[in-house]
Amino acid sequence: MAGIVAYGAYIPKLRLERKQIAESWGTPGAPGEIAVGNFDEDSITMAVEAGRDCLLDEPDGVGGLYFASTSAPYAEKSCSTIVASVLDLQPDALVADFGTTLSAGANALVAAVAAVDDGLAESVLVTCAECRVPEPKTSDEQTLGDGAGALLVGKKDVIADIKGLHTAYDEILGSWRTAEEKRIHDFNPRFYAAKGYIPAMVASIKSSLEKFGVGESEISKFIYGAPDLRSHGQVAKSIGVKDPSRIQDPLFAFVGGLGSAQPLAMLAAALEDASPGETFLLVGWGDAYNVMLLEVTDGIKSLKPRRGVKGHVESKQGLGSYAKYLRLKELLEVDVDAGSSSPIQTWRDRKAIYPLYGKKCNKCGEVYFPPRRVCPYCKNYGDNLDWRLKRKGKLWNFIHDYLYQSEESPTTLTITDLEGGGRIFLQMTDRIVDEVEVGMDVELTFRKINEAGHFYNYYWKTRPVR
Amino acid sequence: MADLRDVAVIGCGCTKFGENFEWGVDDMLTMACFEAIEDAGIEPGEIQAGWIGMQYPFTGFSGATLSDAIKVYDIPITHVENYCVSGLDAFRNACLAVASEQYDIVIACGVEKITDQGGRGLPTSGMGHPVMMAGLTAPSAFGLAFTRHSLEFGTTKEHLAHVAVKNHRNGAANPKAHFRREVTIEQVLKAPPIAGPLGLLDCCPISDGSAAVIITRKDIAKKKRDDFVTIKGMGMSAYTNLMMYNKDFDYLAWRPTVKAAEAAYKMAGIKEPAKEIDLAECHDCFTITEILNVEDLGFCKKGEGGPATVEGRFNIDGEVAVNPSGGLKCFGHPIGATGIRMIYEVTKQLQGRADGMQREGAKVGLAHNLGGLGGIVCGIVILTNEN
Repeated sequence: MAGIVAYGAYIPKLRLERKQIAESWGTPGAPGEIAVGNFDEDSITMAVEAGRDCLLDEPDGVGGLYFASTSAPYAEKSCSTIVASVLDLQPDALVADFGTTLSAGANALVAAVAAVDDGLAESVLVTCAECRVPEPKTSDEQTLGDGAGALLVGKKDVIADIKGLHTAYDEILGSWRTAEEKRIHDFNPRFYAAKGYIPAMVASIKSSLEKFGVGESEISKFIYGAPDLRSHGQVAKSIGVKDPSRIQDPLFAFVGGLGSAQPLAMLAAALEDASPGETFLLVGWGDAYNVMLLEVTDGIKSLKPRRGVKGHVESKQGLGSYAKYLRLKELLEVDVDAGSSSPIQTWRDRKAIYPLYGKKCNKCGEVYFPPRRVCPYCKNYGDNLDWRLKRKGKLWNFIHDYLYQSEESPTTLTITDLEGGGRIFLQMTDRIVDEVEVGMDVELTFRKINEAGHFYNYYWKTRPVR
Repeated sequence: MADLRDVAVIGCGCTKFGENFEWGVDDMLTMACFEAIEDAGIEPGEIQAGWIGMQYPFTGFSGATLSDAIKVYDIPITHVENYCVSGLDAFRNACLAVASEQYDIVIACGVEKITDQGGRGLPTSGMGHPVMMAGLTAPSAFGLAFTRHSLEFGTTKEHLAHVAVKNHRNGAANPKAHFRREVTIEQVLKAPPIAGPLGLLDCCPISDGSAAVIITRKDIAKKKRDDFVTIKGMGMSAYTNLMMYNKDFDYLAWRPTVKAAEAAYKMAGIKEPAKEIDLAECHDCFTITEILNVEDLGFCKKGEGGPATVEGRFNIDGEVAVNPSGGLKCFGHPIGATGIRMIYEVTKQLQGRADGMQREGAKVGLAHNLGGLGGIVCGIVILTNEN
């Protein structure tokens, strides 16, 4: 059976303290904070970042890409193809999009295991990202967070074997959003916990353990998401697990509820601390309650270090105000000039825009960008090589621009000398204005640039190393 | 065939620059062109060809923008677009045509009507790549030079402020200038930020305006007026739209300025620019632009642009009077009109009839026009009254 080969995660840098939300409404606030995607982030960009964290920007040999989210930017248009293009997956990779349900991430994971087991793909990278929009002044507002998880499913260099699969579903209206709406409805969370989530989750855990022939005490860690922290705790109580170290942190405290990305991010977090031989029970939730029994292998010891959940959670920056949160969630409308763009130009330049290919001159060997036909250094014409640029470098020049009409002012413009060659002009994001300086190390991050032409225009930006 | 040095300017006109809400493209073009035609003492019917500099399509399309304004039908008119150098390049092409003796009397003009667009700064939407160039504005493209120039040479925000103070001092005396007021160092330093070290008062304004000149050969000019001016040197150079990607570009000099100056000085036989040139209308879209330009033009050593400005070496009575008109900074910058406006100013200075500050005894004047985000193209014309 297929196994987990690698994990990755992405948590946006911006955080809002729950008490800042509460203070705005004059209500008591819960402790902790929520992660909030910046104005240039959405489910696609976060899925890309989690995917990059998982692959460490080395896509060779990855046979598929699944994208899952309930908050995908497009209602008609694949997101998986964008993510696969940016990650530079081979053209015959298997791609699919999963959405509309909070079990989308876990569903995609199960589908990936099936695809690999069937031999449809050598490996499949499952990415799942959420940036859901709550109704202001509801408990959801203090509960939900933005972020993404990624898991590479394959048969080679497995770090966790999949020992068993179990499926189940439950039909109930817990939280929902119609195709026309932006904000989620949450009719009665206590009703949903009592009659939907808790009994369904407990039943799925119990029947899967029975099916797998594994006792509750043999599971090192129960990894399951939840609509909120309270319901999550009640499940632990119901299945009789008293040792909190055997229940994987659902990330509510400092990230927030990641919706369909919860199972992936939580498994990534569990694997960060895992030792060979540990047994995990991973359960999706929402509508499908699919269960996966995992056993950590020796391979975990040789997995290259990555930022993962821990690294991303530690790297943070205060959002500042609730008003900014409202704007980031587009609950506050402002007039922004979207500019102009063309699907034809985007398609023509896709190799430069998405996987960031420049050229390497066949004559003088210089790497240059954008990938024009003639080398700007030795003027060689015609046979220069496509060259994927490295995603990090040193800042060579910058300026903070207050004139450009953007969600964030100033717009920091940077010129970076990339590792491995190539000088590139990019906007900088997730930075503190006073901390930007020539010579600093920067890394590249994939972001939404604008909505010109009535579609999402994505490209790369620099950011200070997280 | 005649030589470029035989080409003469015999008439020039210029509207007031500024937020000319009450005038359209046609109004301004008409006013500038007829002022030049009257100044030259010719009839519109004597014009055999025309060149018009315009940058933005919302200002006007094609050469007919000019024929519609002054009703000269049935002659060749060419629209020149070359960033902020559109005007000077229109002039250059007109001069080449006259030098070739294809035509005897021609008009070169420029116009831009920017304020109809609303918004802040120059419109950049739709220019350049939708994502790769997103975020780049004119002040940032030029302001990037400050970051490197200050690291290399210690140029400061105070140095920049002195450029604004000097150019406003000159422009305040000029009835056609966009702004008619002086500014203080403190005001410049405390102005709202625009890009990096550049505050509002480090940036040229958004202006409407038009300028026009009548060009002919020296032998014809002699019959029209005594105080015509002639071409002494000319140079033009285009670099790249992609300088920010080029590791050979160090942001310490505007490469097109350096290259165009080499060509113009060679043609003019100028070895020591600061001694041989009396005044220069020098492209100062932003204060940092002028700092690099005065170095690139050889008016001072590389890296000394800031201190040299502070020392007053570019004041009206300094070594070279830089921007006696007030420059783009104070006189205004209707893109396509600017290059022609520079020729207008240099011509009038050399004729001793400047609208504002007069450089006394001026014999050689230089018009320097730099265009494109970060200095992509440059045109230089050196004029003299020593015929």
